[in-house]
Amino acid sequence: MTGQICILGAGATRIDRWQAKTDRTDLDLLDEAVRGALEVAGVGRSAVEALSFTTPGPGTVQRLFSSYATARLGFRNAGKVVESGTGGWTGGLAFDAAAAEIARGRASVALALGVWMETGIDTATAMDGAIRSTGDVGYQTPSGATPLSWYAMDAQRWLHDTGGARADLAAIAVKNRRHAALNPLAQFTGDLTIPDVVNARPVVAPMGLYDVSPRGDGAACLILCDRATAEASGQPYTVLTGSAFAHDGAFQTGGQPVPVMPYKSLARAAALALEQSGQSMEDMDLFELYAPMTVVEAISVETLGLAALGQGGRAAADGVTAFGGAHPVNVSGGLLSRGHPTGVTALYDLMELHLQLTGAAGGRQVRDARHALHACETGKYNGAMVNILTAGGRA
Amino acid sequence: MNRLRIPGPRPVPPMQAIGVAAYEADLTSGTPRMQVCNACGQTHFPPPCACGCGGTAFRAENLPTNGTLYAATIIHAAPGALAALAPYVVGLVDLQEGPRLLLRVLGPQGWVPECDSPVQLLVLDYDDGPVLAACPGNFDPTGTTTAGQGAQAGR
Repeated sequence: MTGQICILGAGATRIDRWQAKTDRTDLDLLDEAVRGALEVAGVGRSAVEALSFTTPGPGTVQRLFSSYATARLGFRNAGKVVESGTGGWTGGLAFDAAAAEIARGRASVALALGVWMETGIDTATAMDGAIRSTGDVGYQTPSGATPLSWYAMDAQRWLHDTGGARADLAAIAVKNRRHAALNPLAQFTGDLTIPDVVNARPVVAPMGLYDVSPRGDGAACLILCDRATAEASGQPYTVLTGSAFAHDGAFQTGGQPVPVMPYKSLARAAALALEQSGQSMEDMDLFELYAPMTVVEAISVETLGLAALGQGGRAAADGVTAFGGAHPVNVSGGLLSRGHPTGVTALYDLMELHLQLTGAAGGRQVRDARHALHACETGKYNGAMVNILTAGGRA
Repeated sequence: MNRLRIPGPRPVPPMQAIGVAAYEADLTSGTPRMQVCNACGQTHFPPPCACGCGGTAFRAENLPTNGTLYAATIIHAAPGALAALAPYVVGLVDLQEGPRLLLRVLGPQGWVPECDSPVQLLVLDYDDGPVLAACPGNFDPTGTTTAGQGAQAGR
């Protein structure tokens, strides 16, 4: 089915602390995203034959949210309506489930959509729950290892093993903030300097406030369809030419004294997805990589071979992974500055690539972008999903 | 086995998991154990249902008590249940000839965890039960009078 699944449009809200700061609700945010996507794609609600939701975040009270939202948003012609969710690759799972409906011929048009609300819950309370996701509840959770702490241990080891510089990791945050300033959906767009990052208050030392992703709320919707529908639409579209998963068999740590980098699951999923697409890493014009901490982008960039081991931060400082560079990474601003509403982050990342590949990315448009790589992960890159998108027809 | 008595309940008690009751009993008696695959000799902690080699029979052996710190972080932004301890350290401890464990790491005030530094296991005895932790190899936690609150990495 490779090459037969297309993205015809996308919509999303700006990412913000909506729940903490405003009266906006989860359904309200999702409505904005869905309307935007349907309008840009020229698709009516009656054409939508499947809705694949992300599992809502902890700030959503409504249960069976997918059925509730399908009804309230006016969809009356759907077949499968489902929620998918496991950790950071939740948005990827919803995207995959929507693609599967098209691949099986049960839908010509399917939505991958979701809303994530969490900022109505304070950070400490949210982490009381999160430590059950990033540790064995019998043996590790009592130690209090937060989600970010696992990546911070990677940071300490990366600095120790590679000789990479702290300031080079900071350069990743600065680069992504510059990108976000060009993205109207971004949560943080203000100036950020390397001293700001290095001197920020520690969150999980050696990583500080600007090395880690912010908490945020948002909603996103992608419209997937089969190739014939895409071609008949007269709209610009993108084609999913490769899509693969890989899990390394570990839960945060595999329990064996082995190196934590590069990320094996990412390397394996990327190789599988590229093989499906018949392309090589050199063919990729840009990358959206799931990186909730500066060091995770560095290790991911190194894992994909875009920089040598220890040079993933240097690649940002030198502009190699910046907008205008040889391998632009996280031109959206990424999780660090575009924002990280966990369950829908992968949908935002896929949307960014769709906009780039259809020439609709405005001031951050990567010139002549034809092929792009998307990655998302669960655990501490225990599992990775990689998607390869290619520009389709243009109107 | 080093032990440190800390008044009060565990900040986060262990929750339902295979073998937790036996593990707590082992910690109380001072001999926490790991599982070793009978088929391939691979060491495991926490206890597995099956080994990566396919083996499903294991023998229990005492956890090695000495090792090195593979990596660590000082957690300043803490969950509510552990907020009173912050900043506290968690680290990946590679035990000699044994598995890698995720543990809290306690050290003297001002101590900064370094990669590959020697560490040893330490049992924290709370009112409601034990928690396995680690401390620097040359650190004598019995000398501390700060009930664990001061016996951790500072800024």
